Amino acid sequence: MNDHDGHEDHGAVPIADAPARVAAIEAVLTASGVITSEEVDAQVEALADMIGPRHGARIVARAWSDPAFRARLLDDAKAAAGELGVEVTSEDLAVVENGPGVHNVVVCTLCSCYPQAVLGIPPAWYKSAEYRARLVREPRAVLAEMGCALEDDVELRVWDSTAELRYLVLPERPTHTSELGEDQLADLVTRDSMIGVERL
Amino acid sequence: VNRTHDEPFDESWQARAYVLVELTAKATGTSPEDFRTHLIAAIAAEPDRAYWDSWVKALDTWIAELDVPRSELVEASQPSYIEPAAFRSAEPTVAANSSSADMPPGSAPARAT
Repeated sequence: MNDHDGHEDHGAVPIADAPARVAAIEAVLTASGVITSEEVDAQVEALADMIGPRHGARIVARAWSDPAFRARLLDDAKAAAGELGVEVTSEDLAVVENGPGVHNVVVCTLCSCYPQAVLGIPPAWYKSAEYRARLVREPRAVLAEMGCALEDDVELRVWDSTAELRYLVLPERPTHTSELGEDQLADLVTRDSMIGVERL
Repeated sequence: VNRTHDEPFDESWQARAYVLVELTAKATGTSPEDFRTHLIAAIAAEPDRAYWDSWVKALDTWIAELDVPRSELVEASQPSYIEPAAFRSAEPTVAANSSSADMPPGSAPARAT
Protein backbone atom coordinates (compact mmCIF):
# COMPACT_ATOMS: atom_id res chain seq x y z
CA MET A 1 0.00 0.00 0.00
CA ASN A 2 1.33 3.34 -0.92
CA ASP A 3 1.80 5.48 2.15
CA HIS A 4 0.91 8.74 0.47
CA ASP A 5 -2.18 8.76 -1.67
CA GLY A 6 -4.21 5.79 -0.72
CA HIS A 7 -3.85 4.04 -4.07
CA GLU A 8 -2.19 0.69 -4.24
CA ASP A 9 0.96 0.41 -6.26
CA HIS A 10 0.06 -3.09 -7.38
CA GLY A 11 3.62 -4.21 -6.97
CA ALA A 12 5.12 -1.70 -9.35
CA VAL A 13 8.67 -0.77 -8.48
CA PRO A 14 8.88 2.92 -7.58
CA ILE A 15 10.95 4.93 -9.99
CA ALA A 16 12.22 8.34 -9.05
CA ASP A 17 12.90 9.28 -12.66
CA ALA A 18 9.59 10.50 -14.02
CA PRO A 19 10.59 10.44 -17.71
CA ALA A 20 11.67 6.84 -17.36
CA ARG A 21 8.43 5.97 -15.65
CA VAL A 22 6.40 7.55 -18.43
CA ALA A 23 8.43 5.61 -20.96
CA ALA A 24 7.73 2.42 -19.05
CA ILE A 25 4.01 3.05 -18.92
CA GLU A 26 3.91 3.90 -22.60
CA ALA A 27 5.76 0.69 -23.37
CA VAL A 28 3.26 -1.33 -21.35
CA LEU A 29 0.33 0.30 -23.09
CA THR A 30 1.78 -0.24 -26.55
CA ALA A 31 2.82 -3.81 -25.81
CA SER A 32 -0.66 -4.51 -24.49
CA GLY A 33 -2.20 -3.11 -27.66
CA VAL A 34 -4.05 -0.35 -25.82
CA ILE A 35 -2.33 2.36 -27.85
CA THR A 36 0.46 2.63 -30.38
CA SER A 37 3.53 4.80 -30.23
CA GLU A 38 2.51 6.23 -33.59
CA GLU A 39 -0.71 7.47 -32.01
CA VAL A 40 1.26 9.04 -29.18
CA ASP A 41 3.65 10.71 -31.59
CA ALA A 42 0.79 12.07 -33.69
CA GLN A 43 -1.09 13.35 -30.68
CA VAL A 44 1.99 15.05 -29.26
CA GLU A 45 2.43 16.83 -32.58
CA ALA A 46 -1.23 17.79 -32.59
CA LEU A 47 -0.83 19.40 -29.17
CA ALA A 48 0.85 22.33 -30.86
CA ASP A 49 -2.48 23.20 -32.45
CA MET A 50 -4.40 22.64 -29.23
CA ILE A 51 -2.29 24.84 -27.02
CA GLY A 52 -3.70 28.12 -28.22
CA PRO A 53 -6.89 29.74 -26.92
CA ARG A 54 -8.31 30.59 -30.32
CA HIS A 55 -11.73 29.05 -29.67
CA GLY A 56 -12.15 31.07 -26.52
CA ALA A 57 -11.08 34.23 -28.31
CA ARG A 58 -13.69 33.64 -31.03
CA ILE A 59 -16.38 33.15 -28.40
CA VAL A 60 -15.44 36.34 -26.61
CA ALA A 61 -15.30 38.33 -29.84
CA ARG A 62 -18.75 37.09 -30.82
CA ALA A 63 -20.12 37.97 -27.40
CA TRP A 64 -18.74 41.48 -27.71
CA SER A 65 -20.29 41.86 -31.16
CA ASP A 66 -23.64 40.17 -30.69
CA PRO A 67 -25.67 40.97 -27.55
CA ALA A 68 -28.07 38.10 -28.19
CA PHE A 69 -25.17 35.64 -28.38
CA ARG A 70 -23.70 37.14 -25.21
CA ALA A 71 -26.96 36.50 -23.40
CA ARG A 72 -27.08 32.92 -24.62
CA LEU A 73 -23.45 32.45 -23.67
CA LEU A 74 -24.03 33.56 -20.12
CA ASP A 75 -27.12 31.40 -19.89
CA ASP A 76 -25.75 28.19 -21.46
CA ALA A 77 -22.11 28.41 -22.42
CA LYS A 78 -21.83 24.93 -23.87
CA ALA A 79 -24.73 25.47 -26.21
CA ALA A 80 -23.50 28.89 -27.25
CA ALA A 81 -20.01 27.56 -27.90
CA GLY A 82 -21.59 24.89 -30.02
CA GLU A 83 -23.09 27.59 -32.23
CA LEU A 84 -19.52 28.43 -33.24
CA GLY A 85 -18.63 24.80 -33.76
CA VAL A 86 -16.73 24.55 -30.50
CA GLU A 87 -17.60 21.27 -28.83
CA VAL A 88 -17.28 21.11 -25.06
CA THR A 89 -17.72 17.46 -24.24
CA SER A 90 -16.84 15.97 -20.91
CA GLU A 91 -17.47 18.82 -18.53
CA ASP A 92 -19.83 21.72 -18.07
CA LEU A 93 -18.74 25.24 -18.90
CA ALA A 94 -19.78 28.49 -17.29
CA VAL A 95 -18.93 31.97 -18.50
CA VAL A 96 -18.46 34.68 -15.92
CA GLU A 97 -18.53 38.25 -17.12
CA ASN A 98 -16.30 41.11 -16.12
CA GLY A 99 -17.81 44.55 -15.99
CA PRO A 100 -17.47 47.92 -14.35
CA GLY A 101 -16.63 47.21 -10.74
CA VAL A 102 -16.48 43.42 -11.14
CA HIS A 103 -13.52 41.22 -12.03
CA ASN A 104 -13.47 37.43 -12.23
CA VAL A 105 -10.52 35.07 -12.02
CA VAL A 106 -10.33 31.29 -12.32
CA VAL A 107 -8.28 28.70 -10.48
CA CYS A 108 -8.37 25.00 -9.75
CA THR A 109 -7.33 24.50 -6.16
CA LEU A 110 -7.31 20.70 -6.33
CA CYS A 111 -5.35 20.06 -9.52
CA SER A 112 -5.50 21.74 -12.92
CA CYS A 113 -9.11 21.72 -14.13
CA TYR A 114 -9.28 24.09 -17.06
CA PRO A 115 -11.62 24.70 -20.01
CA GLN A 116 -9.33 23.06 -22.54
CA ALA A 117 -11.94 22.97 -25.26
CA VAL A 118 -11.84 26.75 -25.45
CA LEU A 119 -8.45 27.71 -23.99
CA GLY A 120 -6.20 24.84 -24.99
CA ILE A 121 -3.68 23.46 -22.55
CA PRO A 122 -3.11 25.36 -19.32
CA PRO A 123 0.14 27.24 -18.80
CA ALA A 124 2.64 26.02 -16.25
CA TRP A 125 1.87 28.73 -13.73
CA TYR A 126 -1.83 27.80 -13.67
CA LYS A 127 -0.85 24.34 -12.44
CA SER A 128 1.68 25.57 -9.90
CA ALA A 129 1.07 24.96 -6.23
CA GLU A 130 1.71 28.63 -5.57
CA TYR A 131 -1.05 29.88 -7.88
CA ARG A 132 -3.52 27.24 -6.74
CA ALA A 133 -2.95 27.94 -3.07
CA ARG A 134 -2.44 31.65 -3.02
CA LEU A 135 -5.14 32.79 -5.42
CA VAL A 136 -7.86 31.88 -2.97
CA ARG A 137 -6.03 33.29 0.05
CA GLU A 138 -4.74 36.56 -1.34
CA PRO A 139 -6.18 36.99 -4.82
CA ARG A 140 -5.53 40.72 -5.13
CA ALA A 141 -1.89 40.29 -4.25
CA VAL A 142 -1.46 37.46 -6.72
CA LEU A 143 -3.16 39.41 -9.49
CA ALA A 144 -1.01 42.45 -8.75
CA GLU A 145 2.12 40.32 -8.95
CA MET A 146 0.93 39.09 -12.32
CA GLY A 147 0.46 42.62 -13.58
CA CYS A 148 -3.27 42.87 -13.00
CA ALA A 149 -3.65 45.28 -10.11
CA LEU A 150 -7.27 45.99 -9.27
CA GLU A 151 -8.68 49.12 -7.72
CA ASP A 152 -9.93 48.70 -4.16
CA ASP A 153 -13.53 49.28 -5.17
CA VAL A 154 -13.53 46.50 -7.74
CA GLU A 155 -15.29 43.39 -6.54
CA LEU A 156 -13.10 40.35 -7.14
CA ARG A 157 -14.72 36.98 -7.66
CA VAL A 158 -12.56 33.84 -7.56
CA TRP A 159 -13.99 30.75 -9.24
CA ASP A 160 -12.67 27.33 -8.27
CA SER A 161 -12.91 24.92 -11.17
CA THR A 162 -13.81 21.30 -10.73
CA ALA A 163 -13.80 18.22 -12.90
CA GLU A 164 -17.49 18.80 -13.53
CA LEU A 165 -17.53 22.56 -14.10
CA ARG A 166 -14.96 24.81 -15.75
CA TYR A 167 -15.06 28.59 -16.06
CA LEU A 168 -14.26 31.05 -18.80
CA VAL A 169 -13.95 34.75 -18.06
CA LEU A 170 -15.63 37.12 -20.48
CA PRO A 171 -13.36 40.15 -20.34
CA GLU A 172 -14.56 43.70 -20.83
CA ARG A 173 -14.35 44.88 -24.39
CA PRO A 174 -11.48 47.34 -24.77
CA THR A 175 -12.37 50.90 -25.57
CA HIS A 176 -11.92 52.30 -29.05
CA THR A 177 -12.71 49.01 -30.72
CA SER A 178 -16.15 49.82 -32.09
CA GLU A 179 -14.87 49.78 -35.66
CA LEU A 180 -13.32 46.35 -35.43
CA GLY A 181 -14.83 43.21 -36.85
CA GLU A 182 -15.02 39.89 -35.04
CA ASP A 183 -11.77 38.54 -36.38
CA GLN A 184 -9.92 41.68 -35.37
CA LEU A 185 -11.53 41.60 -31.95
CA ALA A 186 -10.54 37.96 -31.50
CA ASP A 187 -6.93 38.95 -32.11
CA LEU A 188 -7.12 41.23 -29.09
CA VAL A 189 -8.32 38.53 -26.72
CA THR A 190 -5.61 36.81 -24.71
CA ARG A 191 -5.68 33.51 -22.90
CA ASP A 192 -4.78 35.25 -19.65
CA SER A 193 -7.70 37.65 -19.95
CA MET A 194 -10.02 34.66 -20.21
CA ILE A 195 -8.49 33.16 -17.06
CA GLY A 196 -8.80 36.54 -15.40
CA VAL A 197 -5.19 37.37 -14.63
CA GLU A 198 -5.10 40.13 -17.23
CA ARG A 199 -7.32 43.05 -18.20
CA LEU A 200 -7.48 44.14 -21.80
CA VAL B 1 3.42 33.53 -9.16
CA ASN B 2 5.81 33.41 -12.05
CA ARG B 3 3.71 34.33 -15.03
CA THR B 4 6.69 34.02 -17.35
CA HIS B 5 6.59 30.29 -16.67
CA ASP B 6 4.10 30.11 -19.44
CA GLU B 7 4.61 27.05 -21.59
CA PRO B 8 2.36 24.06 -20.84
CA PHE B 9 5.28 21.66 -20.92
CA ASP B 10 8.85 22.12 -19.80
CA GLU B 11 10.01 18.76 -21.10
CA SER B 12 8.89 16.55 -23.94
CA TRP B 13 8.11 13.66 -21.60
CA GLN B 14 5.43 15.82 -19.97
CA ALA B 15 3.62 16.20 -23.27
CA ARG B 16 3.88 12.46 -23.74
CA ALA B 17 2.50 11.82 -20.26
CA TYR B 18 -0.37 14.17 -21.05
CA VAL B 19 -1.17 12.38 -24.28
CA LEU B 20 -1.03 8.96 -22.66
CA VAL B 21 -4.01 9.89 -20.53
CA GLU B 22 -6.10 11.08 -23.45
CA LEU B 23 -5.32 8.11 -25.67
CA THR B 24 -5.64 5.51 -22.94
CA ALA B 25 -8.96 6.87 -21.77
CA LYS B 26 -10.26 6.79 -25.32
CA ALA B 27 -8.94 3.31 -26.00
CA THR B 28 -10.27 1.81 -22.79
CA GLY B 29 -13.60 3.59 -22.82
CA THR B 30 -12.87 5.37 -19.58
CA SER B 31 -13.11 9.05 -18.89
CA PRO B 32 -10.12 11.34 -18.46
CA GLU B 33 -11.97 12.44 -15.35
CA ASP B 34 -11.28 9.03 -13.84
CA PHE B 35 -7.63 9.89 -14.18
CA ARG B 36 -8.27 13.28 -12.63
CA THR B 37 -9.38 11.70 -9.38
CA HIS B 38 -5.96 10.04 -9.21
CA LEU B 39 -4.28 13.34 -10.01
CA ILE B 40 -6.17 15.13 -7.27
CA ALA B 41 -5.16 12.40 -4.82
CA ALA B 42 -1.53 12.54 -5.89
CA ILE B 43 -1.37 16.31 -5.49
CA ALA B 44 -3.16 16.20 -2.15
CA ALA B 45 -0.78 13.55 -0.88
CA GLU B 46 2.28 15.65 -1.59
CA PRO B 47 1.28 19.24 -2.34
CA ASP B 48 4.87 20.38 -2.72
CA ARG B 49 5.75 17.72 -5.25
CA ALA B 50 6.30 19.01 -8.77
CA TYR B 51 3.05 19.02 -10.74
CA TRP B 52 4.25 16.71 -13.47
CA ASP B 53 5.70 14.28 -10.95
CA SER B 54 2.25 14.10 -9.40
CA TRP B 55 0.86 13.57 -12.89
CA VAL B 56 3.16 10.58 -13.36
CA LYS B 57 2.23 9.22 -9.96
CA ALA B 58 -1.43 9.51 -10.88
CA LEU B 59 -0.80 7.92 -14.25
CA ASP B 60 0.89 5.06 -12.48
CA THR B 61 -1.99 4.32 -10.14
CA TRP B 62 -4.62 4.91 -12.82
CA ILE B 63 -2.99 2.55 -15.29
CA ALA B 64 -2.67 -0.06 -12.55
CA GLU B 65 -6.45 0.02 -12.19
CA LEU B 66 -7.06 -0.56 -15.86
CA ASP B 67 -7.02 -3.91 -17.53
CA VAL B 68 -3.30 -3.93 -18.24
CA PRO B 69 -1.44 -7.08 -17.23
CA ARG B 70 0.17 -6.49 -13.89
CA SER B 71 3.21 -8.55 -14.71
CA GLU B 72 4.04 -6.30 -17.62
CA LEU B 73 3.67 -3.19 -15.54
CA VAL B 74 5.95 -4.57 -12.88
CA GLU B 75 8.52 -5.73 -15.40
CA ALA B 76 8.57 -2.44 -17.24
CA SER B 77 9.12 -0.71 -13.93
CA GLN B 78 12.55 -2.24 -13.50
CA PRO B 79 14.98 0.65 -13.79
CA SER B 80 17.58 -1.52 -15.43
CA TYR B 81 15.26 -2.10 -18.36
CA ILE B 82 14.78 1.56 -19.10
CA GLU B 83 16.85 3.82 -21.27
CA PRO B 84 15.64 7.32 -20.35
CA ALA B 85 18.05 9.02 -22.71
CA ALA B 86 16.41 7.30 -25.62
CA PHE B 87 12.95 8.40 -24.54
CA ARG B 88 13.07 11.55 -26.59
CA SER B 89 13.10 9.50 -29.75
CA ALA B 90 9.90 8.39 -31.37
CA GLU B 91 10.28 4.84 -30.12
CA PRO B 92 10.62 4.41 -26.36
CA THR B 93 13.28 1.85 -25.59
CA VAL B 94 11.66 -0.03 -22.79
CA ALA B 95 11.24 -3.72 -22.38
CA ALA B 96 7.59 -4.17 -21.69
CA ASN B 97 6.89 -7.77 -22.42
CA SER B 98 10.28 -9.41 -22.44
CA SER B 99 12.37 -10.83 -19.68
CA SER B 100 15.52 -9.18 -18.43
CA ALA B 101 17.59 -11.85 -20.08
CA ASP B 102 16.45 -11.16 -23.61
CA MET B 103 16.01 -7.40 -23.54
CA PRO B 104 19.22 -5.48 -23.96
CA PRO B 105 19.13 -1.76 -23.21
CA GLY B 106 18.17 0.25 -26.24
CA SER B 107 15.94 -2.34 -27.76
CA ALA B 108 12.58 -1.26 -29.06
CA PRO B 109 9.49 -2.58 -27.30
CA ALA B 110 7.55 -5.37 -28.83
CA ARG B 111 4.28 -4.29 -30.35
CA ALA B 112 1.11 -6.22 -29.75
CA THR B 113 -0.76 -7.18 -32.83
